Amino acid sequence: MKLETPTIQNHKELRWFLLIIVLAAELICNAWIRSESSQAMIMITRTESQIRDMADYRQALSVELERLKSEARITRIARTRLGLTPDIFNQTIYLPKGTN
Amino acid sequence: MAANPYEKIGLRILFIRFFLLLCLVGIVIRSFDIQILQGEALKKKAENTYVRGITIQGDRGLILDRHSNKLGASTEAPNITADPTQVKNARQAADQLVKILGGSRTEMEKKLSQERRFALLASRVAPVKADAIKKLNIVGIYTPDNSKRFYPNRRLAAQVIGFTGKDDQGLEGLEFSYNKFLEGRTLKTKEYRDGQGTILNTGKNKREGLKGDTIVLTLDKKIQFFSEQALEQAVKEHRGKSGMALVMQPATGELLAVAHYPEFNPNNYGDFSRSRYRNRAVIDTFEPGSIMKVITVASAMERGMSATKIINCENGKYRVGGTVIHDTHPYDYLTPGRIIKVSSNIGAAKIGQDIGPKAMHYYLNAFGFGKKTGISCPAESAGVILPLHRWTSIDAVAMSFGQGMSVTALQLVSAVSAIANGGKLMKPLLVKKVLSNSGEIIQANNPCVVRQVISANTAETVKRMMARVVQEEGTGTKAAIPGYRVCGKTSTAQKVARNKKGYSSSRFTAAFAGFAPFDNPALAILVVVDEPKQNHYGGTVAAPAFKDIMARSFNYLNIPPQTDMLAALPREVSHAAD
Repeated sequence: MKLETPTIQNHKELRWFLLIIVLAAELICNAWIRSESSQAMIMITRTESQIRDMADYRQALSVELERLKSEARITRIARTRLGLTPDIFNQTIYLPKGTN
Repeated sequence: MAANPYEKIGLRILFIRFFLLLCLVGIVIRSFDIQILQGEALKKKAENTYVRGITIQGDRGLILDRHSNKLGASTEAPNITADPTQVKNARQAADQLVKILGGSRTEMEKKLSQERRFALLASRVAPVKADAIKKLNIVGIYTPDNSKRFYPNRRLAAQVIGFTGKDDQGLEGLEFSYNKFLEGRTLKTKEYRDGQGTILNTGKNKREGLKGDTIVLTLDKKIQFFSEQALEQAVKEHRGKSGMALVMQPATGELLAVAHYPEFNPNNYGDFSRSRYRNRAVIDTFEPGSIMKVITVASAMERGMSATKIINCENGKYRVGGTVIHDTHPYDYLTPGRIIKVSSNIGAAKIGQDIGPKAMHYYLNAFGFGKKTGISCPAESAGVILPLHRWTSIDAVAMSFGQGMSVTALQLVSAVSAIANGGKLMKPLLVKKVLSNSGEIIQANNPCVVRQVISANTAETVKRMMARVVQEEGTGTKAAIPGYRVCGKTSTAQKVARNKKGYSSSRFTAAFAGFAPFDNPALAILVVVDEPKQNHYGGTVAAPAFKDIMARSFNYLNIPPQTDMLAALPREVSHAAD
């Protein structure tokens, strides 16, 4: 049986070692990318959820604004709290200069 | 002979190689079994632990007035649901949930202990409560989005807008008739979770695209408010049963206000009687009374009657067949203009007799009576005008002053608007356009001329006659607005008696219809008060409400008074410094 010389043997071991290193590196990279993408997905989902919450809040605020500026409400406040009364027939009318 | 050591090692290597190969083959077979043969089943099994099918419901569309003020909108109100198979400790979870949601702990525990994959724990809760439940982070408890209909102006135009039920489906008004546009679309999608139960991609961000369409009405929130306020005052002051006020733009047929009293709050419609939900302006019919005299005179003039014709009004009593027609005050000879001004039944009856039943029937139809207007409100009524062959000798005479027929308030204001609009009858509009959730116009309702009922000249002459109604000695002086030339007509119609033949002597419908300013009518208004108690005349009950709505609307719309009329007013006029 023919035995391989030590130099050839060393080269073979080195190749195996490199292959293992490459595979291990790939494994680590893969794990890192996967965890990063999961993290990114979670962040995106949270941000989307925040956007939705903000949009809902904006909608709620716009409806509240409509409620606050309702004529019935403002008139009630003007009458009950400020003691005002509408009187459109006794207004001060300013006519343009030169009008007879 | 013993084998040499190299042969022994060779055999061992061969054996180990064979063993490793066998293992490899085993792994390949097992992989094939897992990946290919049982692949789908195992995939589903795994998905069940991190994927959940959900249905996303888009919000209901908005209802806006002509200036994009929100009249109906949806606000966030999530549901609280559970997948009881995922809930590990039902008792503990029930304890925590009841603290936030309230209710019975045993009921909650029962719901969470079911052998089902879905349980509705609470529907449409406040967003704050949903957030608090989310923070508990209980596995198997979910807060799917949902919304609740809200009407920020409460009672404003409630009968027109209507409301939705608990399932967010329109039940009354425009919410009902435009339900297919307004309702949000649904989407079935999947919700993914990671090992810790954190929700990953949900597809919920697609919800905005599922929102229902928006409808833009022709109503003006402010004019609607003025109308409701004036109507409420008129009905309360005269202790009426109910009332209606409609404001229309004669040139376009757009309704700026459709007010009812008594009204209801659509946010809690269950607290009010069902009779209040009805949009009576398009559903209920009534005998129009003297407002029809305007239509009678317009029809007669269109057929050639002179505006200066003298008609004998028989000093207050006139017999037609077996029926005696009376006037409130006795008159001898009147022109058509005076007949409208003083509201003579006998004068109108004689004009009706002159033009004959056939022409009368033709013009009533031409003005839109007896037919649905085609407005987009549910259950619109056509009113009642008998077919010509069923008319008796008294029918044409009675209809000439608004008895023996019934109309809706919408038909009446449209007919009066036609006179203001140079004889052109417009199709009444309530919905201006429908917009998609991305803002594109899906449906646009433009002003539409139904027909030219009378010539512009006839309309102009009738307008002049109507202007005299609000002047001195007219029946509608309380509708006069200082600085503006107003056209109008009063109506005091007796209602049909309940337990006997003929008309009641105590139940009336008081109304006033008119338009202004005279030269270029911007608004036509009809005010109807049903069964006023203290005073039943249209000129006393409805005319002041008409004046109030018209004057406040002019003020709001910046329609200036006529300077010649202003100058004639007994008031101090100041001039701007510059």
